[in-house]
Amino acid sequence: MTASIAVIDRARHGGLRVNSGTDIAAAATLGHVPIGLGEVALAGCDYPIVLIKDSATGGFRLVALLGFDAGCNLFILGENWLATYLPLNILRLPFCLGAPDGGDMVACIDESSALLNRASGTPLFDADGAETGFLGQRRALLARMRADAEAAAVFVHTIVAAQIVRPMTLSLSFEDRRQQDIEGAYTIDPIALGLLPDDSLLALHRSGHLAAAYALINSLGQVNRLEQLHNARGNSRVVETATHIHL
Amino acid sequence: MSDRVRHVVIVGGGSAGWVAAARIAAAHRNTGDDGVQVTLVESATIGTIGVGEGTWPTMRNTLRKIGIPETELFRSCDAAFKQGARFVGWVDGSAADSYYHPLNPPQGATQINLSAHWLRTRGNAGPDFAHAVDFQSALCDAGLAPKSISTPEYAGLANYAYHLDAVKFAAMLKAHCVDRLGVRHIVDDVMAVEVDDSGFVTGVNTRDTGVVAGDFFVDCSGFASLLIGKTYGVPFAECSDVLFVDHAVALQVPYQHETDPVASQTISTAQDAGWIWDIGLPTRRGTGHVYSTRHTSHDAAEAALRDYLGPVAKDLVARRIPIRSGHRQRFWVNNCVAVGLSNGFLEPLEASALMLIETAVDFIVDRLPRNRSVMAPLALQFNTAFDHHWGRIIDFLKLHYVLTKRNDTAFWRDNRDPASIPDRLREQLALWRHHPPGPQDFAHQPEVFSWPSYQYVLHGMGFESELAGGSQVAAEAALAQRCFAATQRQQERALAELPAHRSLLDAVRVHGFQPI
Repeated sequence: MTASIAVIDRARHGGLRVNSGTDIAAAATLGHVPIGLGEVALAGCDYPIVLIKDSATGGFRLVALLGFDAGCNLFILGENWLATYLPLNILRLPFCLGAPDGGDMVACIDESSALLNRASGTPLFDADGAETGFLGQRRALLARMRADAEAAAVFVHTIVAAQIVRPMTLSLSFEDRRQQDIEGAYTIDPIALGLLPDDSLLALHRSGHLAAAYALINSLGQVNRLEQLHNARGNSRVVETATHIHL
Repeated sequence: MSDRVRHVVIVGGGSAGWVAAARIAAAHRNTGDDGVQVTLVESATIGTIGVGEGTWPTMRNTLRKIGIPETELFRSCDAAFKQGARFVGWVDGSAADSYYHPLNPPQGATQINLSAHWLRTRGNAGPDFAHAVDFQSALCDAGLAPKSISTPEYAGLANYAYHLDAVKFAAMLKAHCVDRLGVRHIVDDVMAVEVDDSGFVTGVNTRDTGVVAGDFFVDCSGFASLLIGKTYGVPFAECSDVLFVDHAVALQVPYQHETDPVASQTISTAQDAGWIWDIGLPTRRGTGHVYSTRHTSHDAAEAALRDYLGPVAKDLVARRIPIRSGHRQRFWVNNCVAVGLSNGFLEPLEASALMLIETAVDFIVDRLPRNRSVMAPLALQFNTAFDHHWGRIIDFLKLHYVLTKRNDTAFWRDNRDPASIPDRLREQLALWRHHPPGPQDFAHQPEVFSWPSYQYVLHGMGFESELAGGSQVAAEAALAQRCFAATQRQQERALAELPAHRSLLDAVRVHGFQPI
């Protein structure tokens, strides 16, 4: 946990209020954001959804790509988020789950967030010191997200074990003829998926994983949106974005 | 055809027996008419030798073909990464005397031979050959792993092999064979071998199970060599006139703290009459002194090992193992082939034991004889190949001894006696004074030790040559400089990105490697 994240505490956060809106400052430097399994269908309409590896464990995480570089979110222009679906890991800010003493995960708040202040916005605690309905809703959101992250982990485990996940390369061609190959993302190989035995496919379907698998495959078309947003910033123009699945 | 090979019987259950069983079963156990049944007969009374604890990088392919996830190897066998060998004290015995034989080939090895360029440009303060042409020695110096937790299983940023617990390795393979590959496992003692009129083995007669019949037999019975040695009487070709060591004394020592670094290279330290191996597993170090009783006594050898280890070995009991250096004159007779110690054995200076098991099994799996009529040509191919392999391994092991400048003991002086040096090695050393080792010197396919290995040892030991003046050197100078610079860049990147060896071993136990 970063130093500015603290467990929500009546004494410490009694007078704190949260402005509505997206925490643009915190989200602007995210190149990708983890999503839960329940978000796949909607998120796939805006973002390429891929698997990337966690550098500490080597395990796969399900993420929505927000840009071509690790530190740049192309979906933010000024104060606006240029998509219809906002991933819950952005929506929840400045709240998060954390385990400050290595124990159970509890609701925390990022005290450095630009959305926090003491004058305007929705309070966390009312005049009597009781938690507001707003804080209760945020706690419930964090709990739903945690369950959905676990569902995503089961999905990822299933498709990796089924040997249908492959590394992919995202190749950018710039107008000055420069080429950039971005590695590190993994996707589902539709051919390998189609060749699974009938009983495996049926099991994937019944568990909802088949629909999610095709949502991942189809979401790769959204790399064209990343290209569009990249070019809209007046960067060195990308003239073609291609994805190659390694066999 | 009635003599179709449908049943393979493996006699013996050490590393050789279980590697053979697993590879043959994984490749040939098709259900249906074409399937081959594999049976392994293992003695209840004869233990495994269990000192072969270093592998080659080939083991990664072997395990992948057998179908064992790499994570399982680390969790079941106390495995660690091996990135090569470091030889200490072999050149002159001085305090600074140390060189690497890493597993990575030299930079640009498919395009350029860097020997002469290194000799010409290194200056007085430049890096030694291994550090100049590849980054792996620097990884070993820094105690770093050849990959990270997010590298897929069996892949690496640097080439690697394993150090492992050989007893646990055989147990892991056994469980995999029996539980997942349909290998029939019989624990019983072989009392007699049954041979028909044409000299083919038809079965082994066991104490309690009776006759285990088969069509093709793999002799993995270790030093006993029940089929090739005892039944067929194939003589043993000793090479103690070339390689002098005839015993080992082994000790397993604990780490002082469970967070102590684990070396990711085999450390081989020269002694007065032999050398000491030191192999780091996450749980313990496996060490041993390999020595010549013509040059020292058993007591002095054990004392030297204890002196090397210090107080950590104080109350530990050492185990003495006789070494008979050499190999059978033939390895495949009729329908019977020897794999492992029954085939031959040499001191573990370059971890050739498990590698030769894999080489033999690769051949057998690739050309599992379909019937009796193909036995003779396959036997000829196999025998020719293994005769070549043993000769070349003996040459390469001897190379480590003949280049020494040590004069302090008779062991090292005797090793330089021209009468003890095989002709081919002597001729090649004469050639290499003027031309660096290259692919032309190693035309056999596959060749177990090829020219990069010879480069590492020759230059590591300060072999004196006229190479720096070669006429090709000027023409290739620019490419050579790019190769040296590329090595530097790779080294900086690898040192910055790769984790400490022990921390990766800890992470593998918890998280495992992904298959992709």
